[in-house]
Amino acid sequence: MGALTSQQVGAYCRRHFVSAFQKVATFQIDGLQKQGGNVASYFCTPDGQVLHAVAGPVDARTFLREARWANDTYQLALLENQKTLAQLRAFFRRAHLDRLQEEQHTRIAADRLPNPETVNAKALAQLLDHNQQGGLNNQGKVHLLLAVAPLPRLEQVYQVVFENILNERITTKPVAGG
Amino acid sequence: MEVPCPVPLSEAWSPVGYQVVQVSEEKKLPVDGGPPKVKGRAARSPLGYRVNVVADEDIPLPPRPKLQWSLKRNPPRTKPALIWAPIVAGGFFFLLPVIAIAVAMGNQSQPHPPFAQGPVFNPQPMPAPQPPEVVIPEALFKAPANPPAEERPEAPQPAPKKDQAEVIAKEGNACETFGTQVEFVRNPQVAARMAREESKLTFLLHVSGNFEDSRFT
Repeated sequence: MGALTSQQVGAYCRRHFVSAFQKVATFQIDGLQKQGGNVASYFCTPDGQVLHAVAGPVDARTFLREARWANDTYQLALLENQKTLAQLRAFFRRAHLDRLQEEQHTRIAADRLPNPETVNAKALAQLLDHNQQGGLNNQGKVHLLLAVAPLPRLEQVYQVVFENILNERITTKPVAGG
Repeated sequence: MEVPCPVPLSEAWSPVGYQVVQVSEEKKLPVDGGPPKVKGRAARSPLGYRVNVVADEDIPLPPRPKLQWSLKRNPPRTKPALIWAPIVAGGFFFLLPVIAIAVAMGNQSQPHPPFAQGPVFNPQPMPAPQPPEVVIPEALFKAPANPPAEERPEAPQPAPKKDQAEVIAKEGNACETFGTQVEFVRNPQVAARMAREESKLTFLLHVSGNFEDSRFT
């Protein structure tokens, strides 16, 4: 992932995040060619709620912008005393809807969205399947996902992100071939 | 002084036009002191003749013609008003119809009917780019809050606190960069604990392949 080799990205992540990685999918080695393989980045609270995500490999500038947005929005929510989970969800739902409107020119009324407590991974997968041809890019789909289900737990969305946005199959198999 | 005349003359003659009166060649004593003296300039002959002024006449001379190339500008013989008045009058009468036509066209409220009525082209305004349409499935409004256990994806669950504490005690908080500029702790559970202690957020990277080996990421 090229963005992580940037010194600016490294410095920002050391200052504001504690980082970890996890293997969730695999790819095949056919000769010298790698088939499949992808990456997804999540910015979460210490309790495991996903504030924001970056689907797929991006450059350092994009990664830094998204990381800063996640951290700055979270700090702004704390500044406005949005400390309960429901308050944080409402705050981040508005933030994702704003970015969805500004960057993807897609406007969704907040009162048309379901209660974040009632969404599950299956319903979120259906949401992305229904909007595959909607003109949203990967980051737009991430904003849509997190506007419908703000601050989900990582286990609720990581499979949706990898399979329904990045079109990668989640598997526990090791890297095959080589 | 005597000057011999080159040609035989019948009477006295002066080459410069004086009337020569020859009195005699005798020496005559001046009477009463000689001939009357001329006051001022004495009449003299360039050839040496003695000149006696018998009369002082004022002969009127013809007036000198004036030089044609004199720099002095002659005043015009005719008055300027007599020259410019017809020009102004002619210009006014020439411009009068032009001004009248311009005023008439300016006051014209209705345009002239076109000679041939062509098809009127009314282009429709370009439709605004349609934003991507988002469909919210009904399942999202009906979904149970906690799906059944069998429907849950196989998410990496945090290990029990007892085991986690053992891992931390065993491995410490060592970080590795794996060829990047980001320091990664061993697993997400350690990252969550450290983030809580340091009031930070967690950055979790999900990869396909072996992150430790760049060949597999």
